[in-house]
Amino acid sequence: MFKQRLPFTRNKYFRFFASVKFAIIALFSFVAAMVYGTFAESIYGTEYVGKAVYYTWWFYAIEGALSMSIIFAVLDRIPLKKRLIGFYLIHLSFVLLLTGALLTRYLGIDGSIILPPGEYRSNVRLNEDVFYLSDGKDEQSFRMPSSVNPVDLDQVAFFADKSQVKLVKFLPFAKEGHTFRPAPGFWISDWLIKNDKFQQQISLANHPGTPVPMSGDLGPLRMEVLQPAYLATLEKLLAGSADSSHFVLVNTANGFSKGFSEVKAPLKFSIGTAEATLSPAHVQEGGGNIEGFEFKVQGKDGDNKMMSFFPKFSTAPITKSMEADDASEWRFVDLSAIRGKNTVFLARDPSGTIRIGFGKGSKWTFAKFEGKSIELPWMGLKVELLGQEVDQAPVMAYEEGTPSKEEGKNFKAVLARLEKDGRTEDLWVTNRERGEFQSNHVIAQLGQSEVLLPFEMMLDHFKMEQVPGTDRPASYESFVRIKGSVPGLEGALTDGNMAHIYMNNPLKAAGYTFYQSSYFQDENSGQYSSVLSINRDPGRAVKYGGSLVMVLGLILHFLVIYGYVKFDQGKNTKGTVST
Amino acid sequence: MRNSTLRFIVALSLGLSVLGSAGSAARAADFCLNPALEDQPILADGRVTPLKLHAARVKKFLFPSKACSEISATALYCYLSFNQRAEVTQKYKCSLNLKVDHEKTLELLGLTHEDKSVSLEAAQVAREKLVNAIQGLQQKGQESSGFGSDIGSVLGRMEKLGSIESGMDWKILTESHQWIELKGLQGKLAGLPDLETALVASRAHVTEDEAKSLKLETLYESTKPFSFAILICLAGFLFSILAVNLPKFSIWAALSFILLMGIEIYGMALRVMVSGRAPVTNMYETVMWSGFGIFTLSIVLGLKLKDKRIWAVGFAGNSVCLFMMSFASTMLDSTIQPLVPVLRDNFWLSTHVTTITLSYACLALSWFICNFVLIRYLFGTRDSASIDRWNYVARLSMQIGAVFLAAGIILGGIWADYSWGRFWGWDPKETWSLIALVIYIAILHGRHVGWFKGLNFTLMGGFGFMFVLMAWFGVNYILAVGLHSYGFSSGGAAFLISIFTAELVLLLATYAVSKKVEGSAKKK
Repeated sequence: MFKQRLPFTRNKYFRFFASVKFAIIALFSFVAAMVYGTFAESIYGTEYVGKAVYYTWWFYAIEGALSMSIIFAVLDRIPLKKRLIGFYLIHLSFVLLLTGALLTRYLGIDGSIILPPGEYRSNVRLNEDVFYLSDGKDEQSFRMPSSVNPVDLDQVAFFADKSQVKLVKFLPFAKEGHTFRPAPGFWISDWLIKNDKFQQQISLANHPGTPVPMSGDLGPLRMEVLQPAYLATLEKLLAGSADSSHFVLVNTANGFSKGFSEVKAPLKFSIGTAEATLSPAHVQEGGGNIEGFEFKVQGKDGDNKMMSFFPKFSTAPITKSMEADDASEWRFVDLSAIRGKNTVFLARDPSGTIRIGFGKGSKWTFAKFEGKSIELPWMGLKVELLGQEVDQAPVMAYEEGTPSKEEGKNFKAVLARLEKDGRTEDLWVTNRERGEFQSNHVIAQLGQSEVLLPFEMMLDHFKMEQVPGTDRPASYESFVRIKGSVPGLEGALTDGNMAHIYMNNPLKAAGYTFYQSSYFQDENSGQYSSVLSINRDPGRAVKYGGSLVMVLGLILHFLVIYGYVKFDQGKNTKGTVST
Repeated sequence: MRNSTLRFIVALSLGLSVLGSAGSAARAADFCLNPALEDQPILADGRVTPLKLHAARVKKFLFPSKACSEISATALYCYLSFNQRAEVTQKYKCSLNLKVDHEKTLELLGLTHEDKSVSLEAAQVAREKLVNAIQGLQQKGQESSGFGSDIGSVLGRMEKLGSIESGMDWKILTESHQWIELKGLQGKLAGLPDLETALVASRAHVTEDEAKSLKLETLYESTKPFSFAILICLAGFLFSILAVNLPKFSIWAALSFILLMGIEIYGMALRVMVSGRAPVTNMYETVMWSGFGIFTLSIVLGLKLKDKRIWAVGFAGNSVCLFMMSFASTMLDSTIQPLVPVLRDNFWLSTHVTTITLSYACLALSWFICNFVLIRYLFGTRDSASIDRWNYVARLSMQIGAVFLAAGIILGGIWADYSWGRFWGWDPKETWSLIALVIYIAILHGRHVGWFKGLNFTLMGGFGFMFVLMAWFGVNYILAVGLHSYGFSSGGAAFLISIFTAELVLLLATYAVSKKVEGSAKKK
């Protein structure tokens, strides 16, 4: 065998692919791709570059072209010549290395296991994004494509209650954004505040429950959107200095307002047909009293309400969990607080008229907002309406983001759409937070694929040593217990049934190798959890064999070409490797 | 002995007359000048090191180079540790302004470009401004720019000085072989004489190994073998050039070669004994090791091919490395520091990194040769037989370099597999070493089929090494900083970019001249 030149080596296509010219084209393409990969990594991070360069079909194609060039070059040098032994070995070793890499990539396991102290675990997390849906009874999982660009999905999950969830979109690198949903009465407006030196944009909503705030501070200036009736009430109270009231109770829905100069004892008054009581209520905080008020309304039809106000904190009622209830129609306003700051109030009534009120102290102006902008009496500032959305409310959504070098900033998102009884519900889920459909209580989660080990592991304890006199870690070590009868496991254990895993000392058990990868510390308990990386590599022997062959080949090659080892040259003249 | 008793009595009487902290200040001032302090051990950066060396490093870090030369670095460190800044500034007229390198930092502190330093008081006042500036840069992703890292350094200096002055930096060895901060020791020992005794006795408590390491480090720092090596290396360069035409200088070249070899081996051996590991753990050491490699390979090749000019190139290459070690201190840090956990494996460190660095040395030799030929070509020496002769030497060192590089990459793969569970992971450093290998494979294959002949091969030799420089320094100084962060003003990147530019200019100029020469030859 291999005594004669192979017949197909005379083919002109073969000649091209076996040529050094083709080899150099392939080598330079390989270099160009790798240079691009490393620079892209320095900007977009490791995950991006893996999916965009190193594990793409075209990068595999370049590696394939290299292998082809190498194999053809060897075939072209048949019949075998002793003198070329180095040449054969070097070239075959590259093929072996690439084959080993392929075996590792497609048959190997490369994942990690998180071991919290005192808990047996066997689930290994792999590096593949999976979308999980669970209605409590059964869990369905969908593998996400390996891509750096947004992908439209078409998988569907069916549930027992005849609802179905369609996967719509996968964003491998997401950023926060929003879309709009129809919402009568909602008004979102974008404003620009500017003078010669300064300009800033602000978006305001007239309703709580959107990602857009209802008020905002621009340095010493405050802007707030109010209900039209509320603005009308404030106009009366602020512009008319006749009313010396200190506090004002406002119903923003019906325009009711009542002023109080002070509230020292419970005050009773009527609102339409309802009976109302306002009483002082103080809250102790940080050694001081915070002035508060308790407000009760007793309607004739038994419609009773009770709320607390702390005007220093917010004009809205304060809930039991100490949050401002912006959705409430009631406001309790400390006029002196409003008068104390340059304020711009805005309101839009259903007919589309925008009214603006601005001022400080006792000087207030209220007007209809017409044209593009209006001048404010401070530092030559102007307020300009940039745009508005009417009867639409923004909804949190995700859009395509830019990958970041700081891996912590990157996150992925999936849009899933539930269809039940002819209604649909959209849900965005990120790999940071899971979500739940309101309509059928299906829980959705974007995580990583998992495989189970044939045995269980538990972190017995974790040891971290520091560089003496500093807080830098010098080494970290895991002491792990293993449960389960797997052949080959016993030999791996030391100190009873404990395995000791630390940097440069992995545990080899049942075909798997466990490496100390990282650790994290629980903020509350201070206990360490250990992260081990797990690896099963069927390509290892091939790669090591390839390495050995390459080194042998290189040594032989140079020994031959520099004349340290001499073979009988014979009649063969073709195929000189180097001069 | 009598001296210290006398001082004890003086201290005692002073202590009686002036009570409280002012008294202890005066007494502390006395023994800070005690020469016995110089050789005491101190625990710094996780390593036991002589106090005088630590003090010198701290001084170099904190203050401009000529600050406070009236007293020894140790005395200064001691005064500061006992919170005696006033004593130093008044008695020795020392300016203890903190070093500021970047113009923009000076501007931010309201200083002019000539100032180069800031008083501690002014720095403390501006502290918030500095923190805000660095946070602003962080938001723009520019915290590792020259400006950003300089602000970081100024803040670091303030913190370091703070930790020294609160007695937390000086760690003293006690009889029970425990390291205690000066502050803790001050609390335990009531009297200053006791404290002085404890400080001076510290040396007696070290283990045998530590004592040996202290002695060796002192020896290394006091003999400065690599500074001395520059002179010999330059002399060797001259002698070997002279020896090309005047054979009587051969003996001098050979002598410089033996002397240089001895000094470098001595220096590296000391570093190995102090650090307990192969001398290839940071940029400084890789430059040191590859300089040694360049010059050793050139000697071997020079002897083998009976050509003394190769020696000259080797001496020149090693001189470049030695100059970088002595004068590029912002880029190459010469201090011996403890290793990060992942590198703590002496076997793999010694095999993988030394192999890779040796391969860089071989490829560097080929680069020096190619550049020498290119420059010579520009200046009119265009004899093609001579170019081929040099190309042969360059190719030989390229081949050796490529073999070492391939072996080094494989060893790295095996180490990575052994300690991280993967043979290859497209890490930038890995990838760039592969890029460099592939480039040299392409060059050698191209030459084999006759593409790169004569000067074209020389041009390729100049071109190829830029990829090695990128793998060696660029990954750390350009890629790690990130392209978008304007990090080019920091030492390493600026150095690399200027070398790349110079090399490209040389390559293009020689190529253009060679085309012109070719054209005029055809006309004839």
